[in-house]
Amino acid sequence: MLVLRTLARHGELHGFEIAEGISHTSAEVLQVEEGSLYPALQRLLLQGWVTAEWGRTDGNRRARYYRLTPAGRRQLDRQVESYQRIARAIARVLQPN
Amino acid sequence: MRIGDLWRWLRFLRRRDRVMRDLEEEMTLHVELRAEANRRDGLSPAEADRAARRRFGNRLATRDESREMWGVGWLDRLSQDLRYASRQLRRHRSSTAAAVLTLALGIGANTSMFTLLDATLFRPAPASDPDRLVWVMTRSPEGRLQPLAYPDYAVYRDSARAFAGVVGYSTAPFAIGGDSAELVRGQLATGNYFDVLGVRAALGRTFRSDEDVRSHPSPVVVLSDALWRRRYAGNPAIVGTTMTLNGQDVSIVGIAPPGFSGVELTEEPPSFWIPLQTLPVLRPQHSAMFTDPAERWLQVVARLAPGVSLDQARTDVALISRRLEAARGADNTAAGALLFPLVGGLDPANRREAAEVFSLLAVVPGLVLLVACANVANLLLARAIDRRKELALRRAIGATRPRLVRQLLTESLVLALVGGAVGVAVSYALTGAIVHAGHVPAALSSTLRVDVRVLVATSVLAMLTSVLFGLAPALFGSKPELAPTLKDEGSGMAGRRGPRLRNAFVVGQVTVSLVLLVVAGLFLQSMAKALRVEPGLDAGRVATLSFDLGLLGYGADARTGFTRQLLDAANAVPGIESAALADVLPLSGYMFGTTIAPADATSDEGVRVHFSNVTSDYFRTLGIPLARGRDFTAQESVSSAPVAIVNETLARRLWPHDDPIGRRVRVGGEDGPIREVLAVARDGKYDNLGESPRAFVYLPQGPSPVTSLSLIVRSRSNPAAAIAPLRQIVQALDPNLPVSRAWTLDQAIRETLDKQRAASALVGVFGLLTLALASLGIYGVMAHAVTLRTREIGIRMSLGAPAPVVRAMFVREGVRLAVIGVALGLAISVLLALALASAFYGLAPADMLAFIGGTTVLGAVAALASYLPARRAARVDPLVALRSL
Repeated sequence: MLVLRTLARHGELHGFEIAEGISHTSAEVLQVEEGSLYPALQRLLLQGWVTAEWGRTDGNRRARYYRLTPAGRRQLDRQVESYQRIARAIARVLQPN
Repeated sequence: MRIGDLWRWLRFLRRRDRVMRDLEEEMTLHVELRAEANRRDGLSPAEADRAARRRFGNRLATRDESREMWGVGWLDRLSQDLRYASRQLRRHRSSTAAAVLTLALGIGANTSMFTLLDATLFRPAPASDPDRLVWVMTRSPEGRLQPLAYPDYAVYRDSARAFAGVVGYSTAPFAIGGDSAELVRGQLATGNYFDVLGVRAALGRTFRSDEDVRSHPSPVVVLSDALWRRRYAGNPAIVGTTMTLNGQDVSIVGIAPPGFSGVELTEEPPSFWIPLQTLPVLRPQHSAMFTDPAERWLQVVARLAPGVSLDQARTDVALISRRLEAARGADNTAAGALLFPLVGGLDPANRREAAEVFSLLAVVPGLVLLVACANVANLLLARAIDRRKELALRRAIGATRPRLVRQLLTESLVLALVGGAVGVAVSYALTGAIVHAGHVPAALSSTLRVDVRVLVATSVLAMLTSVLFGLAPALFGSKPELAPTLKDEGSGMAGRRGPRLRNAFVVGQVTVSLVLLVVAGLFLQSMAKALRVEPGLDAGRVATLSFDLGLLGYGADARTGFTRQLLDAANAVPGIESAALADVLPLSGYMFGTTIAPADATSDEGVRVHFSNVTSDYFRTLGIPLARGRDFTAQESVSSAPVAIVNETLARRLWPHDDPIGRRVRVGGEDGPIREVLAVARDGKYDNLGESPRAFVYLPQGPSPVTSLSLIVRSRSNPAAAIAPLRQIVQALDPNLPVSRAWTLDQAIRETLDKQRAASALVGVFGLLTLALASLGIYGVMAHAVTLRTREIGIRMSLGAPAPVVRAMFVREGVRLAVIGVALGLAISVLLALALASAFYGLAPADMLAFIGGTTVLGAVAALASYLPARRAARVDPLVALRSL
């Protein structure tokens, strides 16, 4: 979900940018091995939620840019919605009366 | 997985390498960018790189995990295993070749057996939609399965609604006349035969139902492809012309497709098909066969109507059967029809018998394959021992045990598949040899071919085999104890289980090959014995010629005239001592039975007896001594005089205490003529050499329903030389009469032993095969043990052990295994011999020759197989051995 969310916010990103984006937005709370991003991207590709294309970085280096597909966006909406439902439920449970 | 996923997945498969390269590049970029960022944060370049790599994590694992996301890991692993396996197999060329050859022999033997089994028991019939065809059979009062009587066939054809069509046929000998008369088998078939089977003529047309009527003006015939090619050189212009069958002109309307020989495998494939109702024209004496419900001679095949199941058809047929029985009432000639699915080339009655024989025979190649597997398993175990360091290393760097087992099994699979491919070639040769050695019916040998069904069976067998021989070595090889194996420099025996497992395989091989050797020996012994049996006649200088006067419609007078002329002419041939005629030859496989009783006895005192109608001089010609009394006179033997000659067994049974000469007997039930006993002939063998004494009566020739006849002559010298002039005499008397089976009596007797000879040849060949495999096995194990123990031998010898002691050490080990195997093998052989004793003539399990012979041969081979490596062991140079540490 984090990958989809990051792509939704920034449009087209390559792997390193996605990793940076995730660690920035989560304020460095979610620190994982950055390598684990790549298997996740392969899975998203297989499911057709993102597409990838080779492009150039600002420093003129070849990089693969990922972009959300319409199906990916729908998937993100679904996930966000179900996440929010759970979050609300948890919040209600934790709320002092 | 949805369509889109599938499509993306397939695209991935196609461009897998590129995808992986992309990923590699991406990850490199990622680490570099991170390192740059780290440098910007003030780290030294080296430290920046290290931190970037640390933050990225295990790159190899990441790559594998990404690949796993596409779910193709197994595919990669398989292709990796296959590549690895073929590299391994190529590296060890000689042992791979040995394994492939061994497997090829084992698999080839089984492929041949399967080809035989398939052709007789499983192959679909040569018809369209063969699985909709069923056999319609009936049961005799004794419960045997039988063909139908013609009137019953007509009832089922007309009233069974479960059938789309019902055909009947019967196979019979016919005389093809013309330039050269020959005797062939043809099938009489109902007019709908070809239509219901869905078989179309390759040339011309098949016959129609309206041609299958009594007294059709011009009978038609459809030739088999084989006859057309043989007799007419495949000339298409022959269609539309006429040929002579049993002296009648018939017109050829078509040629059957190549390879078509009816739904049944017969001893000799039919050469032509003619409409059933032309039978009375071609064989006038057989016209009662269409009306008598007790004459059951018609093989019936039905095609199920669309949508009707076999069970529904059975219900329908049972209903008709009951109606039929009720209508026939008291005469009890009707019997219910039974349906059987039509598969393989045998009708249900023969099928049951053949299945028994084949299941016995199929065990033999199975045993050969088992021995082959044990051999290859030994080879692989040896290799696993050699490779244990490599395997230990693989485990140490993280390969799991299932992964290693899978890898080793892949090697076995590759071996087995290559072995199977070579095995198919072996089976070609072997099937040819089997057909050649054992009298396989001609129709069967023509259908023996390697087709898709056989190939599928072979590959399945190869895969099963690979597990069979590969599993034990794989499990053993994948379990090296890591530390000792890696530390040890790789000499000495590895663990205890390895050699024990291999020894067990060797013992098993010795056991199986001894069993096969003993059984083959027993067969050979039984045959030798059968050849020594006294047949009760002097076959030495006797030749016989058979023919069937019924084929050409001879009446009683014509027959008497013909036989008298024939005997006169035969007696006039120089070199012929005497000549006689008989309708049943001894040991020909044909027997006719009747009952006989003293003339004054009440009807239920009859004795079942077999008989032959003979002329005078029959006894002199065949060398059958008359114990007492006199032979038929020439006059008696052509005029069906009321006389008879009994054999000793019959005389003893009818008159245990009195002199039989001059007694009066009634032959053939209450209506039979009363005859006077002229003589008692010595007992002999009548049907086969293995039979126990049986009652037999000789009657003079006369009008008889049996139309086949044999001319028997005793020559003064070589009987084979007499055959040609006799054949000329027959031809001169009637050029349309074909002669069948012209040979010496010795040949005829040998022929009766052919089935046994084929079986013993088969078992013998397989026995030798397993002997070769087993000795290779022992040799392999001992040779490998010597290699492994080179260091130990070196130490022993440098400590003063003389060469003979070292040699004895290894020989002892090989012989120990052989002795255990022999003991087990002997025990199993004895049990098997007891079981087989009933099946083969004179097979006495107590005959020690086969047991002693088998044990000696095997023992010698085992000793040699262990001596050769032992000699090598004793030649080990202690210095070299110790230095090779």
